[in-house]
Amino acid sequence: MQKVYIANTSCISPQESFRTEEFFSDWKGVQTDTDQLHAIEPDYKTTITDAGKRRRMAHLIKMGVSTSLDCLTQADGTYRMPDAIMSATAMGGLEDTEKFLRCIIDNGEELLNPSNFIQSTGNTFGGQTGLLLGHHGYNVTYAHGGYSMESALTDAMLQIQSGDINNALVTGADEITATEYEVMRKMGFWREGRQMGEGSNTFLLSNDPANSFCELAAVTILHDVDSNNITEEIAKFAENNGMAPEDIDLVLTGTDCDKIADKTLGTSNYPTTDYKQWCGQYGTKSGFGLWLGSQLLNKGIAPKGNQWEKRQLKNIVVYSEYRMNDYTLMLLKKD
Amino acid sequence: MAAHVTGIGVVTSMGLNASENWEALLAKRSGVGPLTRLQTKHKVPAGEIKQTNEELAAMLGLDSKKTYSRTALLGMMAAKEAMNDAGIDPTKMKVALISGTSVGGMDLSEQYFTDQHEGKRAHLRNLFEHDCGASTLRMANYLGIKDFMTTISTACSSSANAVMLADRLLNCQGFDAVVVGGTDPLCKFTINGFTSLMILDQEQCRPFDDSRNGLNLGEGAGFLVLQREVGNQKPYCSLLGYANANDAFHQTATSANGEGPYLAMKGAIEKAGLQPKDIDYVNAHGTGTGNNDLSESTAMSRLFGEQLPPFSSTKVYTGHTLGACGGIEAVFCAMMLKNDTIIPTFNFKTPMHELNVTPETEVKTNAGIKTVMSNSFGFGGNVSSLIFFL
Repeated sequence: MQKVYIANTSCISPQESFRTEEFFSDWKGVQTDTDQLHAIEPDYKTTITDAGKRRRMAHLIKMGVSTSLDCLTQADGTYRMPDAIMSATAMGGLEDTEKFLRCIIDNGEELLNPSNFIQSTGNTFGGQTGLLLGHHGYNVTYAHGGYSMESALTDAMLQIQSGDINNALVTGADEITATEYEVMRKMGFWREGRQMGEGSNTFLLSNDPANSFCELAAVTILHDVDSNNITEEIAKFAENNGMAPEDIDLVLTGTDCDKIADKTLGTSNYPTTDYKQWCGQYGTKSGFGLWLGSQLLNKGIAPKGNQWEKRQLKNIVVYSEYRMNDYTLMLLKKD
Repeated sequence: MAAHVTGIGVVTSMGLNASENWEALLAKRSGVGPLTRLQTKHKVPAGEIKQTNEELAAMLGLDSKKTYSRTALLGMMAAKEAMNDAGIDPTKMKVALISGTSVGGMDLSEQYFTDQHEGKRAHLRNLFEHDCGASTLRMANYLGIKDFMTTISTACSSSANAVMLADRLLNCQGFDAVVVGGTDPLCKFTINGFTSLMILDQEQCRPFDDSRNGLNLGEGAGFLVLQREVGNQKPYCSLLGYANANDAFHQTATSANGEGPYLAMKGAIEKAGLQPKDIDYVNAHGTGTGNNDLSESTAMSRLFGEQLPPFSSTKVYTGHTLGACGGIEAVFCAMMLKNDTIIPTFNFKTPMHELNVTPETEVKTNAGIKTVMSNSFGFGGNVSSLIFFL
């Protein structure tokens, strides 16, 4: 079975993460005075050069297309053409969906703007990326809540592992909208320090280890797991991938609401760092965790401000939880 | 080894199970007619299932106090039928669920915003089902599937793409069975969306006819059970090939030369290890819009040349069921292969003036079909073709 490597990444997040190393220079950026972490958006003129197309794109699409194209940009400015494009979004074009819904209801099903409808479908940024690249290959979008990112990665890995394709561009993106924030607020979700986030994370996966950031060794989605057993599940995951649990140098955690799992992990022997403090809570947030993990391995550094700072990292598990009792585990390795 | 279709389930405006649908198809009895359940000011015909959500929930034996989107309810009904048909038990084997949908829990989101607009109490629970994945989670709970589940949303090719992932999971991840297909409800959102694009026909749609003037929307769900190993029961057919390509032409229209559809059909034939001449029938995407039917016909003509196989569009029976159509039409293909019968298009009189191609217009029994292709094209340029083999 062919191994899968991360050949390149691109990230728009609430941090200085797009085409800059600033985030890693001081590890600043943790904001505690707000419950909304908005993405730091690049100057889209530099990422989507066609003004007409750029103007018509909604916020989510601009983010998704920008990291996708950036990840493919070569030294001479041209785009590398991937064999396949897999996209992931939990909520799709939520802002346009809501605009169109309100338009239907408030205007009594008249005076409809088709562009909101067109941009509402989940596959819009994946389709737009294909369109801008003139890419005629495989193009699919996963929209499966908190496991959308893992689903898209699984599809890409299956096709690379089997030798059907050599490489794939995988992007996960979601956006903050006022209504979703408000709905979650009414449920009390943003109490206790939780923060809503947004962003777009892209990975060029390849079967070629040369110049890669690291290996993406496994992506697993676990359903119906007892939160108390999360450390055992991680140990099992390590063993299934030919490692001892103590070989895991760092677990990057991203829990939504599962305090038991947080506590279990926090008191376990695993070194942990919460990646959500930098990206906030959104459906494809594990893409940020994966981006962070691959950057750490590529740079040979550990997150500052904890006791594992000096540790040489080789194996990182990116852990995510969504809706309680469902978890995803991704394994990154660097020899 | 090819994956076998060991079970089928389908819910459309023609009927709530596979046998009701097959009877209607044989009788050329369309489910497309005036809307009576859905409240909208647009007077367009559609393939509407007349049961309300409450009635569907009762038929499924669900707790009437709980909230289920129409997408989830239709999906549960079709997937359950497919699982019963195949005789698979997720407590005894490793089973995955892959569903394709374009609007997820939109019917409930509409309720929420309508209640809010009218100053009524808007229930937050109506928004929790909004995302596409929520309908799949509900279905998985109902069906008892825990090993793997995911949702694909590539507009109208969603469930065809789901079938491709199902085959890959069976190949590489040790699954005993994959329940795969798609589900989408009629809702104001899509009726108004397609109205705003001005591609809804005010009459019954006329795929491939020169006078065609748009599509009819429909609702429903279609699911297959795919397995590598089969028991004593003879499978319906096998999944022999598939391909997904991107037209990369326009967000909502297909290119004039049908490049994406051409590449998808060609790719599926290559993956199946076949030649174009081996295809005995094409279940076309055939929505009835000016753009789709011409582009698809052009692509078929490019691929098949003079030897265009018999083809038809079953959207005259169901309406365009968006994310569900790939699953529903895969079920129809399985039934056509099993019964060696081609289901025709109707409402066809005159070939398109640009391209002289004629779909099947009469039911053809003893058709001698062994290898059939099913096409699904979606917004975003996402186009997919599947090939089933008896």
